[in-house]
Amino acid sequence: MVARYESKTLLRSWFFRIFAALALIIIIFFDLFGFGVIGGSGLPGRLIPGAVPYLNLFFLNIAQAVIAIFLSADFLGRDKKLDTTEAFYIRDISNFAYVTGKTLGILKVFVILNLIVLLIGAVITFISSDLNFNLYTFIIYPLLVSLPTLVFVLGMSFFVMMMVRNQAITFVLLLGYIAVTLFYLQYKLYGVWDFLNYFTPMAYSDFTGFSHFYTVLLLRGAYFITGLFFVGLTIALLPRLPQEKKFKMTTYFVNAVLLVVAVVMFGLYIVEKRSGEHSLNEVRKLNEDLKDSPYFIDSYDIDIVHDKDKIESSVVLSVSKKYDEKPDLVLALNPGLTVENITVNGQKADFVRNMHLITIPANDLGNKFPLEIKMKYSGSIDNSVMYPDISDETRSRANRANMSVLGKNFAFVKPDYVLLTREANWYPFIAVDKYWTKYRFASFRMKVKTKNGLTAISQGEEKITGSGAYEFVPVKKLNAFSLTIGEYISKELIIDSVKMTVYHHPKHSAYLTAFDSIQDTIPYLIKEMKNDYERKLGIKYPFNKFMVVEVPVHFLAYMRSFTLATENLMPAMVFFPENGGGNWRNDLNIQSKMIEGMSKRNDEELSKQEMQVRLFNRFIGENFIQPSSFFMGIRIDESRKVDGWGPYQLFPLFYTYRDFIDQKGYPVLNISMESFIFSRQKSTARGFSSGLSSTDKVILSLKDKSLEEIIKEKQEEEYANIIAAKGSQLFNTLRVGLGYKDFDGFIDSLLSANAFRNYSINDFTADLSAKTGKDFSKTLDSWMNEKKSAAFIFGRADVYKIMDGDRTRHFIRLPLRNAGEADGIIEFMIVEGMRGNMRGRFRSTMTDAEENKKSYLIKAGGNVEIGFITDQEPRVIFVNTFLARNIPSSSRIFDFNVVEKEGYKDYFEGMRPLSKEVLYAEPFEIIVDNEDKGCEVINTSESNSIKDWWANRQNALEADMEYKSVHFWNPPVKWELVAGSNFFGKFIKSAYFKKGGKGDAKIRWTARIKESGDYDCYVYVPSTFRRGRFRREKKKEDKYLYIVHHDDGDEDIELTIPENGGWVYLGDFYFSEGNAVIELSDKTDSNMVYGDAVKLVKR
Amino acid sequence: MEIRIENLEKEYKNRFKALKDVNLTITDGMFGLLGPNGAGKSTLMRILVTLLKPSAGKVYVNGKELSENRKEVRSMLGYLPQDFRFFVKLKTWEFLDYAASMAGMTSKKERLKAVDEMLESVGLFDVRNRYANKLSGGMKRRLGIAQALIGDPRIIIVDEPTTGLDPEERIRFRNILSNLSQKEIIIILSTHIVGDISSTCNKMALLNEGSVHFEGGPEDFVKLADGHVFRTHVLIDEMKTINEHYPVVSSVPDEMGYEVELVADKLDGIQGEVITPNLEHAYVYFMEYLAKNEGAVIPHPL
Repeated sequence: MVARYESKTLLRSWFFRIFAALALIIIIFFDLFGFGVIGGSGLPGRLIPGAVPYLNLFFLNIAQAVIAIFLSADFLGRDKKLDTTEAFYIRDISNFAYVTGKTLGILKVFVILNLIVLLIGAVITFISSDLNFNLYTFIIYPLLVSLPTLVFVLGMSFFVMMMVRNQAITFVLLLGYIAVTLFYLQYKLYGVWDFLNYFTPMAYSDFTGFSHFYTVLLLRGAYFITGLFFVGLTIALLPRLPQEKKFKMTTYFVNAVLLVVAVVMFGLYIVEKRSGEHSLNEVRKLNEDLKDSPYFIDSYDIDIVHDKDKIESSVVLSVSKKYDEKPDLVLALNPGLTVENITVNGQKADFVRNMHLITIPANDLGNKFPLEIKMKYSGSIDNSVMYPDISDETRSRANRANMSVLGKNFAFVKPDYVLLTREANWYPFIAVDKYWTKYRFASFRMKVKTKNGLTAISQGEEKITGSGAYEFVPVKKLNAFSLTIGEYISKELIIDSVKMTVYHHPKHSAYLTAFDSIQDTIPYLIKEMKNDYERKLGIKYPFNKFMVVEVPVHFLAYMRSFTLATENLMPAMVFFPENGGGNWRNDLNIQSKMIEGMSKRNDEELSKQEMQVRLFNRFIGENFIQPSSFFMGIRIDESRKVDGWGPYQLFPLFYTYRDFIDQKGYPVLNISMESFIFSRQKSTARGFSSGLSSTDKVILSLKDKSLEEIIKEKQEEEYANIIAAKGSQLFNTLRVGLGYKDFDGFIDSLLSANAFRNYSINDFTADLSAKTGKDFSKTLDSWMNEKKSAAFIFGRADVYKIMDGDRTRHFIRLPLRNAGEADGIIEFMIVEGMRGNMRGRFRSTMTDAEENKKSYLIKAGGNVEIGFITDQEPRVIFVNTFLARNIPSSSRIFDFNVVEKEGYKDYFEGMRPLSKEVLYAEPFEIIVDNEDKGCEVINTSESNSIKDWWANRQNALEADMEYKSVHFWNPPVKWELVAGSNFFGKFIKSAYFKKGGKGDAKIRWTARIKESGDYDCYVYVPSTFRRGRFRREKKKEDKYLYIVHHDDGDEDIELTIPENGGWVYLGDFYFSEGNAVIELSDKTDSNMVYGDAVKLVKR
Repeated sequence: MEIRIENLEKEYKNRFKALKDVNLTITDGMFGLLGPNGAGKSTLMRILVTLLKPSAGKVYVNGKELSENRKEVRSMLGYLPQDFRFFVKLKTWEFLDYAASMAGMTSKKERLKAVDEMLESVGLFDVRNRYANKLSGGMKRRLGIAQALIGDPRIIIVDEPTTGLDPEERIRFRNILSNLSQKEIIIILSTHIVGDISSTCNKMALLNEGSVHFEGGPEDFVKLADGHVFRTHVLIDEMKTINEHYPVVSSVPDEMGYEVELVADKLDGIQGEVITPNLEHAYVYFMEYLAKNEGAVIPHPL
């Protein structure tokens, strides 16, 4: 009864009504737009199974927690305030019944709210064609997400209110608590603070249900019980005389029990998490002490039985030796698997197991090589020790697909699902130093027995030998082997004699309808893309099968520093997350709506087939071929930052799972080769992105340092990028020396000759020495130890019309100088013709240009001119200066000096020396760039509007970066550096920029005037192109305010900024010997102001 | 029914002694608790309705000790607190329904019937759908008495029920209570308005500064003032002196001056006729002469 009237009054409170109405309206809109019912966009992650109830409750939960605090604190406050309450206090009702009644009353109202939200969600699910309704999720989410939070928040706010007896202070305390858990405590102590369920993985998978269900249950249960405990305390402390004599005893006893239960549950949660961490640290420690080993495994014969949440394996290994030493044999196997027995050549061996390491003493090995080692082991996979090289910080972060928090499972062994990749260490490796970075080849064969009705998927020829019984025999040796077992439906195509199979969950066939009109075209599309990619890489697809296997959303594969492959890729196989893994790019409905919208804007009439073709190309291209890596904000999660890289990109199938250069310790050469091959398919003509590319960052960190030093000083995660870039530089230098075709052909033949085998570094060095005629080991040595670098200065690119026979063609001459201390290479790619040629990411025009790449080696101090001849007018030259000091390393030249000269004859293609020195500034010019000492910035006092604070907070993400990226939507309130090819600079093309201001902040350029006189004064203004949605905005005129301090006084000049940027004339002024000062104020009507360089030219 | 109060003391946290050694026996019928503001009436009431714990002493209800048997006692109680103005957002009938359910009426049908009857008897039936907070002061009081009476309580305790009511409402209120006092129940009415008691109570006690100064029937109380109430006539300029010397109960002006009723141990220097005292006279006499005499506890008249 108390409950009934409590809910009644709550429902009548305007505060609650307004809140509930607001919440519902927001949720309805969120559902309609977010889940793609209306409009052309949708929420990333809407397709994750159970996303509808999950995300709805996820939002509602945070909102209702806040509101519950307000309401429940009000509950006792009201009791105190209302004199009528006393008339009820004297009634025959126990304090227990009274408080629980009140609590239930509030809960009831929230339950109704939750039910309405779920109902909306259910309706949304039914009207959307591509969402599946799963009743289980609609039942379990409210119980796991809403209920514990509500009970906890209610209990806690009752209690706090009781203690502090002041409504306002209670609000502040509790809201503060929410803020602290959300913004500060976050993942600390394994996310145990997360009572709001903001960081706890709660996404649902159609394959495996919830991830970490036990720990989630513990945590949510612990909060539920704690909530009850607080309610209990409230009962105990209610300012009303109790009914029964034994009341005190009973309530204190019950409360004590509740407290103990809650503490135990929290404790178990932490213990569970900590035990994993403990094992992980043990594994890390053991890995540090690993040594090189003469042993290697030739072949594996695996017999595996999957039974409920266990696997039982019998493995026969053939172990050989590389060199003649005989230490103990150390194998690595996931510590979740218990070894029952090991025999060596038929003899039982004594072995020692320490975490993942299995040591068989040298004495037990005998002398008959290769050894035949039989192992029997069983158990499950301990996830917590996988990826020991990934930092704790990265590991502890939630695996968020936008809002849904996914689990972090690296491997699965469940009654209905198994997923084992190489990293799971489900078959033994030789535990040599850094063994996890070595992708050594061995031959495999495997027999699998699982439950009838489940499909087993692995590499190699597949034979079904009985119900639930499979046999897999890979034709070639492999350096990774995986096993997937689950409920799958498959679809098959044979293209270029490669058998392509898609395995998906029976419920997830919606993607088929997205391409229903182009069923017949798909093979051609795939073939075209495959050929294109193979041509770019110069490597044919090396397997006869290609499988795309849908895996649970919880499956996570970290990016590693030592390879471009993630565990999302295994030989001949991609593990693609369930329903696209909450990635917006994989949401086919939304994507097709976008394509539709785009074609409408471009006035294109697209047939259904054409639409689907575009969608298909986009889907395959973005995931598997060349992701455009468009990330909102900055990627901070992964260790190796590679432009144009994605976890499902097929590149590793062409290199990482085909070739391996075997080297002691860290696989420096393998990384270099992988990176070099990878760069072949990478388009130089990346869309412009502000900020630094990964190569640029490497250039900054390589300043005056050798690779060797960097490897010594830095963490593995940091230096892998540098190795990759240096490696690419190494091979590109060789390539310039030998010529493109020759060198690439040579490398291709070398790699295919050594494909699917372990290519030792000695063989590799010998092969390269033979080809180049130089001792490659010396080259390698200087590559590791070189500190100097090249630095290029470019002259003006002149364009002449020439007559070649009876054809009019164009000749471009680009003078340049290597002003650095080391020889350097430079690569050009010229694009001719008018705009429009570049549209479409997979068009052939671009690849024509790619094939016209030209590279040159320029000696330190050398002055040269480069000649290009084109049929059409040149539009842009893409320049890659690799690891020279120039930043950005990939830049563009589009500012051509068209020389009108009839019958110009002195044209050439290629490089020729130049007698005249290419100068940065002419003798009569004085240039002060923002990178020069003469340039200083004056910031105003910190601005303190909330908007500015927010902008600063956003930008704080890249606080440690010297050069920021330009955020058009929230430019910084202080001057920040930005680099890009549209800026001016000697080697580093950069500028300062900030948000337009009131004139308090300034940039000041001070030029040394050696000779008094009249000077023409210019300022360099970068072209302020806009991207994305800004592009369509009608551009208003930007005006900057310059102040020139000259001999006759100070002059304010308001300069209209030309759209294309460049040197802009400010006026002529008289400066006498000494310092000439020019300032740029931040006072402007436009959003941003850039300050780059000034130039004074003596008249 | 019998409520026995033995040596009851209450000392608040600020060391204020609100009750000092209170002994009372209350039996069926209407019992009036008279006393000036701050005499400890409300404290005593709040102890009786189990809202407060006494510092010492015991209360027995039908021989059962109160603090040991709160559940049982609470099931017999109906209580109207001194302040009864602020309600949660419930309609008049809902409020009463809530109270009825708390009073142990579990059957919804019976409860709704009882609620309607009660609303009828306190004259609130017409406003039954109005929010309780929107009622006038008198209506709120009536709703208060209704909630105290609903569920047939056997002990009804009303604290200063008539404060702020207009005469008509006051009379109506007294009538409701007197109708009830026919039943075998205890009604305790605390008030500082003498009229409330004289018209309804068959027993009363007088509480002053935390102690019981009188216990008995109202007629016994009146007897205390026998021979001490006078009527006299004074001139206008004499009035001031009279007011300084005697507690004046009433003064009616006439053409010569005032006709004055006053209370005194004996008249000194003026002439006056002795009149038969009423409860109000007795209360004034008591407060002005007997209570001011330190330790002058009036012996039980019986």
